Amino acid sequence: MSVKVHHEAAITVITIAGRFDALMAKEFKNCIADLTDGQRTLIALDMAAVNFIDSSGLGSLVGALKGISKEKGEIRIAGLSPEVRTIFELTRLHRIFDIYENIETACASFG
Amino acid sequence: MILGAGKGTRVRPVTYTVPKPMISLAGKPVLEFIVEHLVAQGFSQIVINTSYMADTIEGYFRDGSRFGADIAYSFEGKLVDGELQGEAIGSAGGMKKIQDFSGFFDDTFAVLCGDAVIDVDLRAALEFHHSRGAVATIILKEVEPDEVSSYGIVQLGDDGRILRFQEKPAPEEAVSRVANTGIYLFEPEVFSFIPSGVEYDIGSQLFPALVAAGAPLYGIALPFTWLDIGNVRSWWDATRSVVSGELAGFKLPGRELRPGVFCGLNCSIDFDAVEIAPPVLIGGSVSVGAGARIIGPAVIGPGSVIEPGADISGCIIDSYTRVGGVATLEDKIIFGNRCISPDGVSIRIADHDIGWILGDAREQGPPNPVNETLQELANELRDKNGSQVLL
Repeated sequence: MSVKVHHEAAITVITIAGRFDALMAKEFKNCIADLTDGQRTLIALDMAAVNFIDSSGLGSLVGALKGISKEKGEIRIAGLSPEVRTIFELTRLHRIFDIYENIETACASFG
Repeated sequence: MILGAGKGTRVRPVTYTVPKPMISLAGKPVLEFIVEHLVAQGFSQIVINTSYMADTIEGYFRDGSRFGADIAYSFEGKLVDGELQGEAIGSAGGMKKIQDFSGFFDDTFAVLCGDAVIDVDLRAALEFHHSRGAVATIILKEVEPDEVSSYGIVQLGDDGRILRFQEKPAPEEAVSRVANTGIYLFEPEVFSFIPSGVEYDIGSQLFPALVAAGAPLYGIALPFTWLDIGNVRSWWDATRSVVSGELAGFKLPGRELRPGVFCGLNCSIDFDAVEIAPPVLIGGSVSVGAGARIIGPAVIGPGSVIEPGADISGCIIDSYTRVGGVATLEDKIIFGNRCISPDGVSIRIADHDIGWILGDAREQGPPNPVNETLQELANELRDKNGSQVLL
């Protein structure tokens, strides 16, 4: 379980690994709060190593999107596994988030 | 004989819940289609070998009288500590077990796999079989050139004698386009080629033994419908085909309330308030809320609840499924508490705590704050006709 952050110019890359459940959701929320406080609101979220997501994970993603959007920022998601992608499709989150094949294309999309 | 003993591993996770012969097409088990066809063709004395989830098969068909047949079962396995444990002995092993037990096969007999809906003319095949003095005849079907790598391919001589088998060849290497359909005619003499008490397979062991012995092994290619449930995708394709009315002679259950939309009894659906595009098959006691969208080909199982706003297209949905108002289901199979894609990606719904998206219609799910958030977002999506949400 881990949330890692690094910066590439104006973009912040958050990498999550493992189960995106209640514990991870809490860590992710704290991370987003710190970034928002620091005015870093262009975010590429690398989920290639996420093998599971539940409603807590989904809720934290949606909460992050709302918070970042209020600051005129963006979150773009990359690397969904087929199972995680299924959850996004079932809950319509695939229509709400911009989703990319991998973190490189997600970062490049910011221009 | 119908072969019903396999574990159906290639159709997992569906076969964690039902044995492969009991997988349904438009609400009817595949095995029921087969039994009905055999009876219509004059084969009313049927033994089904069972093993994996035997009770499901035997409890449904019982003595066969409900289907105009005489049915008995050859169970392959044992009871250990009160639990039935299956022990399949191969297709030819299963045949031999029955013959050793009772000498049941005292005349020409058919053996079919229990996992494909067929309408083959068995009488025409019998005529051919007898005319050649065959000890075994394989019923074959021509397949598309790019499909040969999915089948056992057969090369025939001019008189129909089998010259060669190829297992799943590359298209450029295939010697023909006629595929083994798993439907066979045999004479009782064939049992002299099958050893007793060992695992023995028809395709990989019996047929090579017949060829090696120079026994009269023939094949006949016939045109017929063959809906095979070999994997999740082929089940999905077969269901779409049946619901679309492509299975000749099969009347979709229910009443056709709108063109191409069939409903069972006791359904609560305001057709003026929902979008339903055919072909759609809806089981009995289903509720579809205002604003829901169901685009066919689709099957909605009996007792299901489709909540207002749900978006369903190209899906097979099990009985008593609740689909929430913010759910989008596209090309999915909801079965056995799983959401399964035709390419085999499968998730266990309960593991992800998304009860407001998918659940059991008989259960009152606990409230979930994520539900409210997503409901707000879904409302905004609907107002903007699917364009990006503005927050």
